[in-house]
Amino acid sequence: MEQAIPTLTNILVLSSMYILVALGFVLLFNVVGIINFAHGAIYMLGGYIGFAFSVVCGLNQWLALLLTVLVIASFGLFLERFCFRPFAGDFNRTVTICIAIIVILETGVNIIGGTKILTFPAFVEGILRIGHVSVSYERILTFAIGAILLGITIWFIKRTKWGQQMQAVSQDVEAAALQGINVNRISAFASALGCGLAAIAGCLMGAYMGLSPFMGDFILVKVLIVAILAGVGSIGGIFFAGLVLGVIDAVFPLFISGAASSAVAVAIVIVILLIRPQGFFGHEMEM
Amino acid sequence: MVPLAASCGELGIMEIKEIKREDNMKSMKSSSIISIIILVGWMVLVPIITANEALAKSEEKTLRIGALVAMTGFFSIRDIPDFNETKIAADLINEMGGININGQKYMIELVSEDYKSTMDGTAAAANRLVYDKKLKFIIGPTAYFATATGPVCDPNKVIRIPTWVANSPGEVDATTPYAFVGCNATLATASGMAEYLKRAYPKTKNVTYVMIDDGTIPYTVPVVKRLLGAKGISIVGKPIVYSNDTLDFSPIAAKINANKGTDAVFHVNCVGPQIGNIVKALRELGNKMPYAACMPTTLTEVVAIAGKEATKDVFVGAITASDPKMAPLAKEICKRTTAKYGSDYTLYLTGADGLWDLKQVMEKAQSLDPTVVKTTWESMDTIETIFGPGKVCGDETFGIKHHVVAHPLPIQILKDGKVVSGGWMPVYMP
Repeated sequence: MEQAIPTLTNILVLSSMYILVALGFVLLFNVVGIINFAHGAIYMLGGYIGFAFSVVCGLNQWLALLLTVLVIASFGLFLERFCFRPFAGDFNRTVTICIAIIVILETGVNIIGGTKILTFPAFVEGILRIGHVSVSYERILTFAIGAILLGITIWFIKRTKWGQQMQAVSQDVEAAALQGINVNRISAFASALGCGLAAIAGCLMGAYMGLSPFMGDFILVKVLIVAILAGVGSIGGIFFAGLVLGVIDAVFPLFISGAASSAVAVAIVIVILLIRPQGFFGHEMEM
Repeated sequence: MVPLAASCGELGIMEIKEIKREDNMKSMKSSSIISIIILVGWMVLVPIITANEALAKSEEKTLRIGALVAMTGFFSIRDIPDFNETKIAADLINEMGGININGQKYMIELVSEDYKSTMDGTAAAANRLVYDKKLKFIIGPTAYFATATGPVCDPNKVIRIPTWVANSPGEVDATTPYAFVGCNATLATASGMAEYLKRAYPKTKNVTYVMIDDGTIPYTVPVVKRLLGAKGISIVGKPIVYSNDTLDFSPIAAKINANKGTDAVFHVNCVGPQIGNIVKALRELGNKMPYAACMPTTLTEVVAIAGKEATKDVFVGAITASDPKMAPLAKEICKRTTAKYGSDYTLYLTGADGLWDLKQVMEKAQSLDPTVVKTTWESMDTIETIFGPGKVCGDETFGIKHHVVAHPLPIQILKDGKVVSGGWMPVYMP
């Protein structure tokens, strides 16, 4: 019982972290049709650029976060135009390009930023204590931002013209183009939005856990699991899938030691996919 | 009066000019003679000096020593600083005259290969050093990656000195006759940390044991349990183990917090971010227990993640650049490292220590034959490590005679908000 409330907060924070990063990944996948394996590296880059703005340039961390989102979103535009669009529909080349981006970004940051552990300055400090429960404001903020961004993204996709165009492109590119939708513009926008979301997650996690050039490698596996569990084409499903993975990752280490907990978590994902190959909310995809 | 005086003055000036001319002639002559002497001397001496220099240089040979370093991948966080320090140590050894074998000076040239933080990368890098580059001595790799180098190095009689070992089979044991450990590594560090824990917190009787799931648990835990037992400290409950891909350490902290009846946390085999994140999550839960992290990771990394307040009562087995009690060689390496990379640079010095130990053994053996060097190392009881006097030991624990070096352990603590030395602890490695 004593562990119940800390575990509950861990579930919420972990889930929101996964949801935040997975959102950008799924946007790219659904709209641009790219499985962006470099998404973890972009998330890492976001954290480092945020660090550069806030610590090296001495800007306020909220301003640094905003500038980071703009920079990484621009990087997303660049990636879509020069790395993804020329190879759209070619899985092998896209994977190769993503791996190249990972190596370039990780090695570049490792050389420029050094191997020293860096941290993005905390957005909020202090610990909330209510009775036996204690949660840092940082964790509450991470959860809150994750939840708010998810809400905004869903609203944006469902309620705005651009969002509806994104949905149309994700359902059928040719039909969307015939309807007069500028597919390239929508793809570029989705890429910028996806990378921007990754940048927010990178800064929040950089403040919470510290920055490392390889932090993206670990999150990428989680993001892939969330995206697959949520199901192809589902944005709202990410919330549920992120929560499931959050529960698995927060609860299993309490009962199963070490790497075995990760193995069991992945095994559960396999079982879920055996029962529902399309994920929780996705539709069957033709490859 | 005036004309007389004027004529006298004119005569005087003429005389003075004449005298000056004569003086100038004299001084020109003498300076010419001096110049000729210098020129002749220079012409005679310079060829002699340069010939001696050339002769001395021709006497120097280069000894290429391999270095297995994780330049990329998650382990580069640990390996790159250590390798940078090893390069500084190599320069220092070369400045001191290199390695002297039978009057022949050998200057060290480090040949690095990136093992990419993977086991297959390690095997491939070891193959390149042994088969392609034909090297006979290798520094590195770190910890369990060393198991991938044994099948390459031992059959080829290549001496390898891992920069850290955690006691899993194949790192350094009876099956690896050409593997040696130059630094304290996991077990000896744990013994020194237990000593500090007992001295700084005398009431400590029970600890929570935490470690990474790196495959060494069955081999490490029983030995650490014995080492702690020797200090009157018991491990309560099962070891709390976390996966290498753990993102959020809050569940681990919750588990530590729930392990009742303990006085401290004893964290073995870890890196800075793991320590920092566990400490941060633990302090959030209100747990303020002393925290012993048995690694040479700098406390600065822990402070960066957890903050100064949370890092109180956390200590690591790392060297501190400002430590006045540091051995001269370590001091010089630290001085050069911090001058080059910054004052808060992580100082592992494990690769540097391995290189320094190797130099001594080679000079004692007076041979570059790996088998002779191996036999000599095995015959030594003591060795002067860069951390101070070392003992060649570990026979019982590692199952191989005199392949492990144990030296005084530097402790790093946080005092008044500053990372400072907590002194040096003796270590025990049966």
